[in-house]
Amino acid sequence: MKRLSCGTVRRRVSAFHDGELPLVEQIAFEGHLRGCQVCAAHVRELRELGDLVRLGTAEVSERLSGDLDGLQAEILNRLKVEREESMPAQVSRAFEDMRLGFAAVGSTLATVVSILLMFGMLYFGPRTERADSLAGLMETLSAQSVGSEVGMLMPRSAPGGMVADGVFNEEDAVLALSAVVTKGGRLRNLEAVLSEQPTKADRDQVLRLLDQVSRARFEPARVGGSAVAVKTVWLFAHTTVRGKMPLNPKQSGLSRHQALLG
Amino acid sequence: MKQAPALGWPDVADREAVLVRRCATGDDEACATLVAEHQRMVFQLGLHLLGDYEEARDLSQEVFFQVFRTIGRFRCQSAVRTWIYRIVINQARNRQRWWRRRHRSEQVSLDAHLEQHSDRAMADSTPGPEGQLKRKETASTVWHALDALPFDQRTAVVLREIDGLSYEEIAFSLGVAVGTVKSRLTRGREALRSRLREARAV
Repeated sequence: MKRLSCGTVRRRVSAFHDGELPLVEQIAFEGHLRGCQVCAAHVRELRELGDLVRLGTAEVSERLSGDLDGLQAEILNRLKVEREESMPAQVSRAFEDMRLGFAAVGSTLATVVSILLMFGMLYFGPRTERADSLAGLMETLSAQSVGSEVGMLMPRSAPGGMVADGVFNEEDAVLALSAVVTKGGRLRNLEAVLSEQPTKADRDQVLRLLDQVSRARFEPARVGGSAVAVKTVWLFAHTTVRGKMPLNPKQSGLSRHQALLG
Repeated sequence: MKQAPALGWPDVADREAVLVRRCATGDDEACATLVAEHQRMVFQLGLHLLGDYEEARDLSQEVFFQVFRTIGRFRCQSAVRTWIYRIVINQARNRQRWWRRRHRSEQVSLDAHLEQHSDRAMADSTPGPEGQLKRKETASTVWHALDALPFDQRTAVVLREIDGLSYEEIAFSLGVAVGTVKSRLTRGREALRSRLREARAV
């Protein structure tokens, strides 16, 4: 038989007390306890501890009987309430009256179908605008304005055809003129585009400019080799640029001769 | 008289599995059966771990609610009783953390309860009034010591000494290894034993 030391017994006395040792060790343990009073006392103490811990639990158990009936009823009632208030129960209650359910489902379906139709029209509908729609008109106009893209030669001033010398009194001026260049290269409907009422001086200036421009000659615009009449807008800008001369050549450190040469 | 046929473990397991399935589908009768079968164990264990009747009652309710909320996920890999033990212990652990701090002064401990109610039980096992009183005091001392143990050691001792669970069952209920259960039991019992010796030496 396997012999055990007191140290081994003390380490495993708890498992022995609980009957959790393998059979061989259990027998060895019992053999040791028969010959060792100290270890035997240890085991007795553990048994007594167990008895003391269990003492009174039978009495507690008796007292509990009355409480447990009420406890079971409380638990079941609360469980029932909890189930009634749970989300699945609420959903199933909501669908008990299917008249409301059908209405809700129908309106939801109608909404979904409408949204799908709207997106379908956006994605699968015709991409080009109608010619009489605003977008169509804008597209047509923008296409016509780019003459080179449709093979149009814009009207050009004949060499020395448009001269506006001596027209402008002011140092700086900007004027816009519009006119139709006919097939023969003449101007029709010539007019100045003014944003505000001109003063008398400005009016004279504009009239002089219109007079000079009306006498100008143009090569007409051409599409596919044939002359066409087009409406054209010109922008006239007059700017005077002056150089800055030193007032006193001595102050600048240059001689009079050098200043005249410069 | 006709004898009822003996139930083997497979029969018990099948019966439990059927009961669990019925509870999972919300069968009120099955729920009532489950509560009736385990409420005593739940209440007593709660009382032993927390030491207070009202707390144990509240704990029992919470335990069963959690049982019914999660019973659909229970796969019968252990006995229902062991699974419920685990829930009780987890709930008790959570409760005793804050409850003991706040209501310690108001607590009616189990040893006090024993003092009031265990006269008859002790009268059966002790010879005279003096011995009866002595044993009553000793039991009170042990329960005080048990109450002072760390929660995990106390739970291991209660599950073993009062509920009689095996080491494997205790390990499952506590969610620890069997070796851990052994060491907790050994340390818990050593603390109780030394406290008992001190009481006797006085």
